[in-house]
Amino acid sequence: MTRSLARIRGSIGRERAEMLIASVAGGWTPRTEACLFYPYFWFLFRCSTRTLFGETGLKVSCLIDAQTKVGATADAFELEHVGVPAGDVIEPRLDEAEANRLAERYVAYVVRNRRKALVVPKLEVLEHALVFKPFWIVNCTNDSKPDFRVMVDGITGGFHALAPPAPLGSFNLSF
Amino acid sequence: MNTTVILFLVLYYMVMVGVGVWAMRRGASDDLEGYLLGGRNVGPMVTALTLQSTSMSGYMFLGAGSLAYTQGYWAFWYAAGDIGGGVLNLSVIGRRMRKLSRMMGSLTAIEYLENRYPSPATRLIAASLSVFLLSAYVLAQFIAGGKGMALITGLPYSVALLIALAVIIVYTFLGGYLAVAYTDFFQSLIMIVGVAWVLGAALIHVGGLSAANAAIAEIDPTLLSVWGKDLGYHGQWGIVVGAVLVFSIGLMGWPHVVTRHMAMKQPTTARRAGAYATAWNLLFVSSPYLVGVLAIIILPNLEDPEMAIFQVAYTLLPAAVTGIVMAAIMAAIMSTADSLLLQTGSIASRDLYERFINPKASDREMVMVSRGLVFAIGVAGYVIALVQPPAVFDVVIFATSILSSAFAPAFVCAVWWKKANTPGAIASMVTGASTSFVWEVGNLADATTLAPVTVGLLASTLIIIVVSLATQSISPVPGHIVAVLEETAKVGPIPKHLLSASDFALSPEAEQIESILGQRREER
Repeated sequence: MTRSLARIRGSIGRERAEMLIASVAGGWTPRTEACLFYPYFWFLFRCSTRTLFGETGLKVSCLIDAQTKVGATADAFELEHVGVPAGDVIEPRLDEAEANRLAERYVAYVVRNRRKALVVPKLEVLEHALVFKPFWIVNCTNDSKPDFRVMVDGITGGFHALAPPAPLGSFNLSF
Repeated sequence: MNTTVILFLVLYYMVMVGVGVWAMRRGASDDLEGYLLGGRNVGPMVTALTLQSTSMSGYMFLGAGSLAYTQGYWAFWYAAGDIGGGVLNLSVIGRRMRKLSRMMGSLTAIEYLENRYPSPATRLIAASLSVFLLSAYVLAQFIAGGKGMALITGLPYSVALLIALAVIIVYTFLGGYLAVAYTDFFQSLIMIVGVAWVLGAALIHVGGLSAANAAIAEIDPTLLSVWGKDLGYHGQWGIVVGAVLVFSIGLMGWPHVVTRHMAMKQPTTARRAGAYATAWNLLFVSSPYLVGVLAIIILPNLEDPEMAIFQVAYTLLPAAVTGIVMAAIMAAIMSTADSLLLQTGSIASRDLYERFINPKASDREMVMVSRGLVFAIGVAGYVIALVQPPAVFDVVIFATSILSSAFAPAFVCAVWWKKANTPGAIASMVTGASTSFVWEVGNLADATTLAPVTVGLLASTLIIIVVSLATQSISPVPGHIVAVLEETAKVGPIPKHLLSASDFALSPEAEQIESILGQRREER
C-alpha cells in the first residue's frame, strides 16, 4: 500500500548513503536495508521583537520531532509530495495543536537566548505542515565481526549508529 | 578624562548602533541574523571570534591583570587552568554529555542533571545554587563595568556604576542588540586586536620580555617565581592545585544552554570553529596576565591593581585607539553581564518558578519573573558594589570554586559511572557547595594551605562515591538511564572513526528508530 506525504527534498540516495558509511567504516560492507520516513511538524514563524531602536522581525523555521517532541530551528528546505510504501512511514505521536504550542515555546526560548534579551517575541505562523525526513538504514557486515546498523540522514548525510532496542522508560522529552 | 578618548568612545558606540540599525532595516530576509537565531555557524572564523568575546569577561580585564600585578608569575597557575580547562572539559565529559543530554532531551544543564538523577530535589538544589552563584558572578561584571566607566569618563565611581548597571539592565529587558551576529563579530575583532595592541605596546615599552623580567627582579625578585610575592605560597600545593583546578574543573560546573538546529546541508563548520576557538584561547588567555606582569614596571605605584590593564592601555596607546579599545572592552563586560543575567533569570523562571510554583505559567509570566529577578539582582548588586565592593578576582574565584565543587563530580559521574545515583548526586552537590562556601567565608585557606576548591572537590567526589554505593539497594539507578548510559558508551563492533564522526544531533531520532525497528522485528 502506498502513502502520500510531504518529504523534505534531499540529495542523499541509497548509493551515496552506502558510500558515506564505507568511507568511515573501512573493512566493512555497507548495504542499505530500508528507508524510513520520520515525521516532524514544521512551522514557519514571523518573529517580531521590540528593541531599544524599534521592532525587529525575521522569519524562523522550526521543526518539532513528532515522535519525541524535541524542537529545533531549521535551515530553509524544499518539500516534494511523493508516494511511499506505507510500511516505511513512521506515524506522528502528537497532534498539530500540541506541536504548535511546543514550537512557539521553543522559538521564544531560542530568540531570548540568542538575542540576549528577556522579551516575549510576537509569533505569527506563516506556513505549517507535517513533513517527513528520509533516513536510510544501512547494515554493515564484516566476515570476522558481528554486524551493526547505522542510520543515514537522507538530507544531510549525517549518520548515527543504531543499537539493538533498549528497554527505554519515559523521559521528559518535551520542551 | 581625555577628550579624544571620549570622542572615539562615542564614535565607537555610534558605529555599533549604526551597524545594528542598518541590519534591522534590512529586515526579515536578513540571512545572517537568521543564521544566528538558528544557532547556525556563520563560518569558522566568525564563530570562533564570537565565542571568544563571550569568554572575555570583567575577570579577564580586571581580575587577571590585578592578580598578575600583585603576585607576578604566580598568576599563570590560573592561566594554565584556564587554557587546559576547555580541553579537559571536552575530553572528560564533552562528547558523552552532549550525546546523553540530546538523548534525554535536556536543553539546560539543570534539566540534564534532573533527567540523569531523577528527583525534584536535584533541580531545586542545582537551580538555587546556580541562581545564587551566577548572581555573584554578575556582581563582578557590575563592578568591572563601573570601574571601567569611571576611568573612561572621569565620573565618580557611584555615578559610573549606576550608568553601567542601568545600561546592562535596559539591554537585558529590551534587547539592545539589534544585530548580534554583526555587533559581536565587530566587537570581538576590535577587542582581540586591542588587547594584542596593549600587550605589544607594553612589551615594546619595557624593551621585551627578558628586559622586563630583569626590571621586575630589581623591584622584587620573588614576583618572578611561581610561588607568588615574597614566596607567599611556597610549597603550598593545596593552594596551587586549587589555582589550576578553579578554572579547569570550574568550567564543568557552569550551567549551559543548548539550542538545537537542524541543518539541511552536511555541517562542517562546527569542528573547525572549535579548533579555531581553542587556538584563540591558547594565544589569548595568557595575554591579560602578561600585561598585568608588565604593568609592575610600567605603573609601579598603581593605586587600584584592578585597573592595571585599563591604565596600561590609557598610558601607552594613542588616545583614539584607547577610546575604541576601551569601548570594546566595556561592551564585552556588558555583554557578559547581560548573558549571565539572562541565564540567571531563565533558571529562576523555568527551573524554579514554573517547575515548583506555577507549572502552568505562560511565557509572558515567566519573562516577568525573570525580569523581576534581574531587577532585584541589579539593585542588590548596586548596593553591594557601592557600599563594600569586593575585588573582581575574589568574587569570580568565590563563585567558580563553589560551582565546580558542587557540580563537577555530579557531571563527571553522570556519564562515566553507572552507579552514580540520585542520593549520591544530591549529597555531593550539597557537601561540595557548603564545604567550599565555609572554606571561602571562614578564610580557612591560609590556615590549612588548602584552597576552597581543592577541599570542596575532594569532599563532593568522596561523598558521591560513598553515598551512591551505600544507597544502591534502596535507590538504584533507573533501568532506562542505565540503558541510555550503555548506549552512550556504546562501542561494540562499531569502528571508532564512524562513532567519532557521528552526528549526535540525530540521537533522539536514532533512539526512536532503534525502538521501532526492534518492535517490527518482534512482530515478525
